[in-house]
Amino acid sequence: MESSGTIGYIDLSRPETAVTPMPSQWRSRFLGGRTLNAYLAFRNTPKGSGPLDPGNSIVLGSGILSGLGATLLECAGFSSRFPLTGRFGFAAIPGGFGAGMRRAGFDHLVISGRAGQWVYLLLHEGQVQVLEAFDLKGKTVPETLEALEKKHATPDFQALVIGASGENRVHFAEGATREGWTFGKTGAGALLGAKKVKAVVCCGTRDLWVKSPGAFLDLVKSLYDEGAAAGALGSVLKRKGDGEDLFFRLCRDLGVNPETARKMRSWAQSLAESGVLSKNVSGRLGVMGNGEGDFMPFVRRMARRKGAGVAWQWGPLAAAERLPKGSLAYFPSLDALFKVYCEPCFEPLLARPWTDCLPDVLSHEGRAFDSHAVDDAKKGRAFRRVKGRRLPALTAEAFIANSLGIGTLRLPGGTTGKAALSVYRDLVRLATGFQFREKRLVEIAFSGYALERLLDIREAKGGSMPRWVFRSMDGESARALGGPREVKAWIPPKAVLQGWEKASLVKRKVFRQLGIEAIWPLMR
Amino acid sequence: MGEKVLHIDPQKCTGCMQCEGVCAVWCSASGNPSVSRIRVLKWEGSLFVPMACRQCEEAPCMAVCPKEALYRDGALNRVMVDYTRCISCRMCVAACPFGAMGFDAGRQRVFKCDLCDGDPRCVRFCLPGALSYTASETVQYRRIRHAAQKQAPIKEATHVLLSSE
Repeated sequence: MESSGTIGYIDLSRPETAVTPMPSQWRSRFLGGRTLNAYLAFRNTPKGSGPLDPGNSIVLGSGILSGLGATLLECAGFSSRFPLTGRFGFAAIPGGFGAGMRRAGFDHLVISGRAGQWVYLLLHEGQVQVLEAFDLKGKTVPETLEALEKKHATPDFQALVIGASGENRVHFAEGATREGWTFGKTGAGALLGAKKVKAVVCCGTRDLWVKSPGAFLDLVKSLYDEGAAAGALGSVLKRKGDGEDLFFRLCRDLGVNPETARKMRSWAQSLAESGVLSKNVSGRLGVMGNGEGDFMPFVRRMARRKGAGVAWQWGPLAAAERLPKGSLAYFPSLDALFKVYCEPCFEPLLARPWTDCLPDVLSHEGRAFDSHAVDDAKKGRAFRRVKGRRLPALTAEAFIANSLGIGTLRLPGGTTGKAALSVYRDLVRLATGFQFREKRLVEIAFSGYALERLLDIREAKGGSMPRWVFRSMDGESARALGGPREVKAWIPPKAVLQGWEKASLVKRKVFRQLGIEAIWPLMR
Repeated sequence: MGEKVLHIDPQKCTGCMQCEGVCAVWCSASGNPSVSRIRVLKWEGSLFVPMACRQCEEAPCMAVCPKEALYRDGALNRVMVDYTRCISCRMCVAACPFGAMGFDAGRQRVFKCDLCDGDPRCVRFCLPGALSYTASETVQYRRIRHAAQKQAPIKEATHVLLSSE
């Protein structure tokens, strides 16, 4: 294996930066990407930190396949406790940001504290700089990117930025990359905004050596061909911004998630039409009318945190608590409500974004959004097991892929199972020369899943999101959304039998089994 | 069929940067786009323009080389670097009007696109089809077809007009 890598730590409150080499055992135990992100978050987040508190750490991470030529498959990771869900989670950052981080000399970056004024972070040739960003405050996403690109006019420029909604900590503000990808719809933008970080810029030209270039590229090409033959490469090949309407572009400029914003606007309109909202409030929100232009004032007010728009920026459930009783019943649908709270996963070979959300619940047998889980169940590979614990195969593979710095390699034909694991293993072997067994990959996935779950247990006292959602709904709202029984059905009783609930998981021997014993003292 | 050329269609480029990545890995075994022979530049909005060596007939890089290290390979009609003669003076890098000559600081030598000996990897991996390695006549014919396609509705309208008369 070429090198263990480098981790950068930034405490914005002081501000202090430190760059340390990654211990080699971390690489072999967690690989990198998502799993190591979760481990670093655990070590650097004090107990009881709210999502937007200075103590809550943001961990950005690349994987060992980042920047090695499989460009369409690559994604970096953004891990933190997200404001919309209150859960610890992972948002994939598709595109070249992970490669940019590695070329700038960093594998992972831990951001904690809160800056006194607006700043942006520059990663350059193994150094982290915290630079003033007065001139960037209030700028839209494209304006920010343009200004930064002018300032750092290098061919290897990569950046992730936030818009006005992130600055104002709207709970569904997302981040955006130079290539036009967006990520973290459950509040990645708000998390950066809470730390007063407008952007993270990478400029670097470090070499990332590939062990067997020819064979590695041949394998990558065969994956592309398979994806292209199945017609499944649409999302990664689509030119960003093509075919987007005015509303979509406005949301992109402001850095707010368009789907959530649209649902919130529709909801506000329903409330106004049914008289739940007073005429005065409806008028101030500007929610009457169905034309494309009629959607703009609401989103602008919400993203810029102005006047009547303030109450809507926390998402539907938090807004419902402040609105008259029963208002949640007017939300478009239960499915729409859950999708607002789900973080999509990155599957470059298949545009199917809703599988990995709330992995412990929604990808559970019989409760999955996609039909693949059912197909896999028939083939007897819906679950993977390690030491008595079970994990849906889809979730295990998402953890493996994200820990390598790529998206999940799934095709419409369904390559879940042994075949996919051998592809991941071969990609790593050909790119880096690092050899390991497929079983080791599964163990790493289990460690990653346990780390994310344990952080949730520690911070949210074991309450999973769907239970919390159910508690937030009063009986009337739940009935309107299909009845309490249907809402309860989202909480599969079997979820607690998988070995991931508090009583089974928080045991020292389990920590030892999963290779995460070092965090045992931090769990208390 | 005449010689083949590397044809770039910026209208089809989605800015996925796969060509840069694959070129750097194939030619230098390094995932560093600064040693890639093809570079994709982003312009306002979402316009991406891939830039690579045009294999010019009157190549400025060849003209300025003091050691005549750059020469034309007749078989593929490409400009090549003879590294036994090259002294890494970088005159060619300065002279290229397209910025297609680069300098690899790690290896201390200049580099340029050699069309991967007739099988350009960037073309193989370009899934949107913005890059093609095709006969020069075909490039012109594609343009003609595209222009003619735009005129087709006019012809149809004229036909309707004449028949009504």
